[in-house]
Amino acid sequence: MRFERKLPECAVVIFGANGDLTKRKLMPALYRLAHERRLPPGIAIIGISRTQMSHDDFREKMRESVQEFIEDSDVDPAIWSAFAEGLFYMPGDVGDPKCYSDLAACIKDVEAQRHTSGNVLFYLSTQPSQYAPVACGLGRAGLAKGTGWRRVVIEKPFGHDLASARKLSDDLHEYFAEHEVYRIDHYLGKETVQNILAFRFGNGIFEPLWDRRYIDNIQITGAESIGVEGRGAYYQEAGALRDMIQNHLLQVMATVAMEPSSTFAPNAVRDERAKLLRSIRIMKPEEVKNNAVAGQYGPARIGGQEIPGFRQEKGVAPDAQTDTYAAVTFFVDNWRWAGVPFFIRSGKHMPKRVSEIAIQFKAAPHHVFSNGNANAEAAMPNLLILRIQPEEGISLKFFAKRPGSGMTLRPVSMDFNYGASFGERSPTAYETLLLDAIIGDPTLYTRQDMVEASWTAVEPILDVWSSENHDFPNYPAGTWGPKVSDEMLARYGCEWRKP
Amino acid sequence: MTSTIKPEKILKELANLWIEAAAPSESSASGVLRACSMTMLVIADESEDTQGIGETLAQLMKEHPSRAIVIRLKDSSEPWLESRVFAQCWKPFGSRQHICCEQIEITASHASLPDVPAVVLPLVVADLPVVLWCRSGRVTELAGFREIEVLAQKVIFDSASFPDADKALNKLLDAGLPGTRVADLAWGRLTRSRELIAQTVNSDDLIQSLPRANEVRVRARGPKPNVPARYFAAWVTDRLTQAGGSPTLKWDLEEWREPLSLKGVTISAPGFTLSAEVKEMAGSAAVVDIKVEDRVNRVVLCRPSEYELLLQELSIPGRDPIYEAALRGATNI
Repeated sequence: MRFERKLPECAVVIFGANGDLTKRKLMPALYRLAHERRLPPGIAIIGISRTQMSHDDFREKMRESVQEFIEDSDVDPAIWSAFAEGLFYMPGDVGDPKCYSDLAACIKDVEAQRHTSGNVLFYLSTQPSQYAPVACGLGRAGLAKGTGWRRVVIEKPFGHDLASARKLSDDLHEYFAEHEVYRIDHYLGKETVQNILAFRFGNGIFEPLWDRRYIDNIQITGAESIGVEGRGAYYQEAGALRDMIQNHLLQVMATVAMEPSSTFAPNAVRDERAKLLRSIRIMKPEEVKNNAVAGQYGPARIGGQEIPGFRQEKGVAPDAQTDTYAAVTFFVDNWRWAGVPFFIRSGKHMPKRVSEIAIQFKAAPHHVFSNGNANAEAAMPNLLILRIQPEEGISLKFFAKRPGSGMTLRPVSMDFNYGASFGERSPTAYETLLLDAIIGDPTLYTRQDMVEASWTAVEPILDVWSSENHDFPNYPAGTWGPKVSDEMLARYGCEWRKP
Repeated sequence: MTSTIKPEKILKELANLWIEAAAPSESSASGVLRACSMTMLVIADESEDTQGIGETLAQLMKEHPSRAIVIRLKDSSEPWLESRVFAQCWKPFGSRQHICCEQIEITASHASLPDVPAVVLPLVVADLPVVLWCRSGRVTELAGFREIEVLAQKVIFDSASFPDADKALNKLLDAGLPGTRVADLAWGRLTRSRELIAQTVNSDDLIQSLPRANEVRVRARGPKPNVPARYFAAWVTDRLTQAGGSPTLKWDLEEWREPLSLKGVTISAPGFTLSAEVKEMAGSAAVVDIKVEDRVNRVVLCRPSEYELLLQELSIPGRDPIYEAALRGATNI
């Protein structure tokens, strides 16, 4: 109980080491773990990319990245120096078999220097199209097996539909067993998403209310205030439904709605998430129109600044049919959630960056205090808000009597703020997830059956949308999405919460 | 002079404001309590008494702590947008802890007002009421005002700030979206006078005479009755009708002589006459004589401050059916 989990010595091989993800997320997370003495002392990090660089060049480049992207602190020269001793670099083209034989030799050298016990974590920070070729290259070079454990981490998207997700899985499984494949969904690594489990299953008071009898609807929002930021060409092929809802937000939904697992063992939790995802009602094509809304932002002026529409972004076709906004009404066909709509939305260029879950409870059955007056406040239901970002925390909205004579009710909020309550920095999602991968704890990673279940849930929508010609743009940048999205909720007697 | 502001930057400044406020200091060892019960949007012309707005808000915060977003408009056709964020704090008597509210001030030229709604939208506090206090009738005609107005569940105007009574009443009827609650500070100024009349008729003998009321005579100044006079007339007529009477409304319009519009009202029924006469203005007070038959009751009414009027409006969280009926009636006069 008093001991920290012992982390195994290992080598972390990052493919795409010169890319944005490595610079912005992976290296700052690894350095932060080193700074907090949470990495094994002999850890080695081997970066691979096509760029010709020496070990020292790579170390310098990574130092600059850490300096730029680390949050809340500066780089400590002494800690960086010790950390940098474990950084190695190998130029290589992942399409060239020689890359893998060179890597085998490099891993051997590093193992001799750093005593990594033959354990290797392969992090594929590459284009998704390279996942299968890299896994195949590793397998053919004999790197998928070794004296220690071998694990491969991949980032979303896991395919672009159900068939391609299955194909990717088959390709990975050719050389890596399912328990060796770590599909990262950084949303699940966020403290507040993990805290949903603590909130629900670590307390006795909420779970009895957590069902169709007390909950009217659940709204899950993943809104970004920025546009595609130079990723227009990529985003054009993805869209909000694929980029956010199919993975992050459905995983969040599964966490909110899953049944309690008997233990916190990795597969016990993942089994429950998967079961929930499989319980999502699959829409028939004719149901899509009323239960899913695609949107695309148009140009706008916000605070005096001209914001281009999506079709005016660099690399985007002038007639692009991409959904930069998606909203879907899901239903879960099980005993607990029968009839409760789950409204999920995600969009670019929304008024603010916010990810949250809003659980709207049913209103009191009789308004004792309305006094016959159609008082809007008196009819407002209780809300439980689980804020994922920013200002991570939980708020419960309810009514209280305003001080003074008379019985005037006012909405008030009871707030728990993560930062203020614990007074310490929360680890970033990548810190949590990298550490879990090294330890071998896949609880917060997505399993193939979960990936397939979520693709199964969204594929009917994608099929209908791809067969239609959307009248885009249908919302100006800086607003909460198209009107039809409000109408979708109005059909269920609900309205979107404005976070 | 800047012509762009970013909502995300303002939100970040707000977050930093609380981090700084929470830092222990000699003056506030007990930290601060962040209080917010609504979003208070204020829109005003810069030519107006800007200090007065600040003082009114500071007073209001104690009863209605809120995130105040004050939009100050400059009469300029050049693009101009600026913002600043600060906290309004006070220490309640006997308390060791400061209570703080946040305030965002956006300065915009008339030309830049259309750029403001998209900035305000993300700054509105979720799940809490949004109240807009429009201090100037003139700004309601500017492009961009409508988009700000629809963010609020309650819009408070002051019809006295409109150049024309009909324009003011039409704006009040048309404000916001369906379901938006509307208030007029001019109506609040009548509260004490209305209360006096209501209390006077609330006696056993008079209340029985109300269904027989057949005439309401309102005395006002100018060629046309202004908004308060029309409100008063509509209210008295409506209340008497509700009581079972069927009074006829008659007007006595005087020449424009003094800065008071409503001069008096007389309610007549067979067997009784009630009249209220506004006799004179002394500084910020008015003397009202309430006369029932030959009994006269003289009352001095202080002119309520903007703060008191707003406080009155904010204490009504739901609809105000009496005012709504008076507004409809006043529009039809």
